[in-house]
Amino acid sequence: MIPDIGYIALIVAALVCIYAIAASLLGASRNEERLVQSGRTAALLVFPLVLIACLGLWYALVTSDFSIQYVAEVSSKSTPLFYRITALWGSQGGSILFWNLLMSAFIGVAMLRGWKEDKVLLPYVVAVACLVALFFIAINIFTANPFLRYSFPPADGRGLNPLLRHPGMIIHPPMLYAGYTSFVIPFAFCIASLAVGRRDNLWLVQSRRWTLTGWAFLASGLVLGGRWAHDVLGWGGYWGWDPSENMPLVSWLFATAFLHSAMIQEKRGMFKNWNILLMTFTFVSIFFGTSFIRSGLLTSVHAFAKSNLGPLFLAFMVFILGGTIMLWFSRLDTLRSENRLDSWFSREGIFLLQNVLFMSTALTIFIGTIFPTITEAINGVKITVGPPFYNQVAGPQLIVLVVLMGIAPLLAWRKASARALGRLSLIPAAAGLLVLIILMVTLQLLIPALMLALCAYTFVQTVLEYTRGVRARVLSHAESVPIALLRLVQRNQRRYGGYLIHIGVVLIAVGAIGKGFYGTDVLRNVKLNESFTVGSYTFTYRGVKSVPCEFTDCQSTEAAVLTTSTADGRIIGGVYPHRDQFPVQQQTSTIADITGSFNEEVYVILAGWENAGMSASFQVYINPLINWIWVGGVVLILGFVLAFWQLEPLPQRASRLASAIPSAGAPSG
Amino acid sequence: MGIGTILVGLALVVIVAILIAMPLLEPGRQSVEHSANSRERDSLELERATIVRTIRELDFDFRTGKMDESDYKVLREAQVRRGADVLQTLDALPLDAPSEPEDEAQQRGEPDAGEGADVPPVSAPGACPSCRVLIQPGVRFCPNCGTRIAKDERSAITAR
Repeated sequence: MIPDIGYIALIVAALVCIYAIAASLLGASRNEERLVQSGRTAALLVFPLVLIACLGLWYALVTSDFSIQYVAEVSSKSTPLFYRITALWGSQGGSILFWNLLMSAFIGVAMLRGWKEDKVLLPYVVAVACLVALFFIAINIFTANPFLRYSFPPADGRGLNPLLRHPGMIIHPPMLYAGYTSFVIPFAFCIASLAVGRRDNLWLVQSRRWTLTGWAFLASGLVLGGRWAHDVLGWGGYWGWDPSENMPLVSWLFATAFLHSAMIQEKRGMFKNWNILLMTFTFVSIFFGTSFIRSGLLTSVHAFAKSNLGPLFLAFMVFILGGTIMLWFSRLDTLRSENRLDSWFSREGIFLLQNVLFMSTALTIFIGTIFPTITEAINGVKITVGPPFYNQVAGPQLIVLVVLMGIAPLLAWRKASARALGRLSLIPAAAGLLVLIILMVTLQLLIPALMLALCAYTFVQTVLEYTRGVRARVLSHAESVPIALLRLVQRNQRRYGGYLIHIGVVLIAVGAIGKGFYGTDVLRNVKLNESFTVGSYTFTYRGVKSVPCEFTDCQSTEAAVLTTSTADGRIIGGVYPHRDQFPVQQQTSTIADITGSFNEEVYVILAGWENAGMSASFQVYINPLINWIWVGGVVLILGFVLAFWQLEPLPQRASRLASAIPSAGAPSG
Repeated sequence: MGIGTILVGLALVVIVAILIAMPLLEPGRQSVEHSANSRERDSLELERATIVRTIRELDFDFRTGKMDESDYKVLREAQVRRGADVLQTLDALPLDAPSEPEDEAQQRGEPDAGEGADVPPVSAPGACPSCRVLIQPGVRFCPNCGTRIAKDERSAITAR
């Protein structure tokens, strides 16, 4: 009964969406507030209705109601409770229901906010957001229904896909879905602004936090996805340029370009058209990526999500894109720039360059990802584009972006000073040069040394942005350093949160360069008690044995390998990589064991064994600096929190600047 | 599907229908659209906030050594002039609704005290009536918080 109530709630949610669209648009056309408010209430009610549907499916999963096809597909009697709960997003129907839950939650929060001077946008925000929600709810009802029942229920279910049995699966999909779905709000604001023909930045100001939220969720989803791939897929890496990674990255790059470009519109009234296009690209790329990955057109680690939903997604995407372009063309006269670029040598000039690079990087990755599909459509042969293409084409662009990230804060808005740039760059450039010399002397590889030197430049320069600000406050306000730092950050959380995000990105780049250029991997077949050396480590094979599996539906075999340091013979410890075989799903999971130090990870995989373990094959990866990627991810999220969360201001005290403002050269008004 | 499920489903529909209908039953019939006058005012207020923020950014960039003094003076002067023009246009617009309270303006993302903001311990002569930052005589708005300086206050500052 309870799952059936969930299904009914889903149908009611679809009807409520239709009503919300109709009432809000009718209210706007008749200029009638009550209708718009009724539409707003309807939009608000979608969330509790979808929540009821989710609770219905969760109930079926927890009680192992195998009469429901979805439950039998993603769980079994032996599936631990924790994984039964996360199985909600373990396959197609449930993951779209979960997508609906997140999207309706974001819509609900947007409806609850106080609508004042932006009330004029409300009916269109409701209509656009509910239209998108209606599309996904309709998919759940008609195409990917997780509530379908078997006529003859099986005695037990198949169990969750072994790849999804990882703690990362608690948060990786929710983060990515939250990133995807939250963009419905800024996109709705963008369309609403076009619909009412606003000339100002109202939609940007009102949707700023939403964009930042979606961006941060996407970023954390990407980093967590990398961690999941590192731990579960058993290939020693974290990023394989897989379509399921590339598509969210493309959306994230568009969103990053938008966040920077929006600043120029806010400050200078420029790039209005460009910002509308960037928001549209971001939103449409979400649809495009999801449709491609779910259509099975691309071979991906997410092949388990393959379905017949691709054409539906593509059709809706074309509808959204077509509608937006038509609306945009009809409003071109309201979107003229209020200012011109005073000088290319200014912060807006460098932001423009960054925008071009973000776009070209996103398009490079996008074209590389869909290239196999295009070649197959043209001549029937799927030409796959591999990691070397991305590393060689997208890699340099990303490094230039890291450098621009360091230079941009040194340039003033409108017109920068070359002399000031030179003076302020002195210490960061010296730091970069020092890193370059040390790396060339010790490791003698020019390209990664240059890249790390550029990262050092940006890192030091970004840290100096804090110290310069603190020094200015200490001098002018007579504050202690900690208080000056607190007040500095508090007074412009967006700016200093942004700088913290830049530091996070630099740390991620350092990890990627370390792993990519200084990493090694070796495949060795060894006999029992035989040793082999990789880098500065010696590994001695001590045999394999069956061990209890974490799950009851699998058989696990573990190898014991003693690891010692080649340099001083010091025993580092044992590593125990294992392979889990899942007979029902006919899958094998290769679980690596990791040792080494923070700066140099040693990742060992049991590739296979012969003659009851008399010999075995091991793949060993030495991953220098890889852990900085995870640290960078955490710093990036902290930066987002700082930029997003408005801190309570500290009590202000007397200062000397009060009299300094006018004398600083400020002309009278 | 059992009768119990159908009854619960119906109850759900009824509850949702009542909640959605409630705004329709409320008395009064407000207009959704702002008047052209009000839209213009909102846009100008947004622009005013942007100008104040820009002046603060200029001040901060100058103080952290990112700008030459000559550029700083020219650009700041231009912003202050633009701000004065915006306020003049705002003054010329007839008021068609009571002005919003200050906290609402804050919610809209308008700047509070900025990097250059400072508050003397006592109400100093020639200070902004809102944030109490010292301001130049004759200015039409506070370059720190954007508060309009009324004509009598302007002349009082000038006289002092």
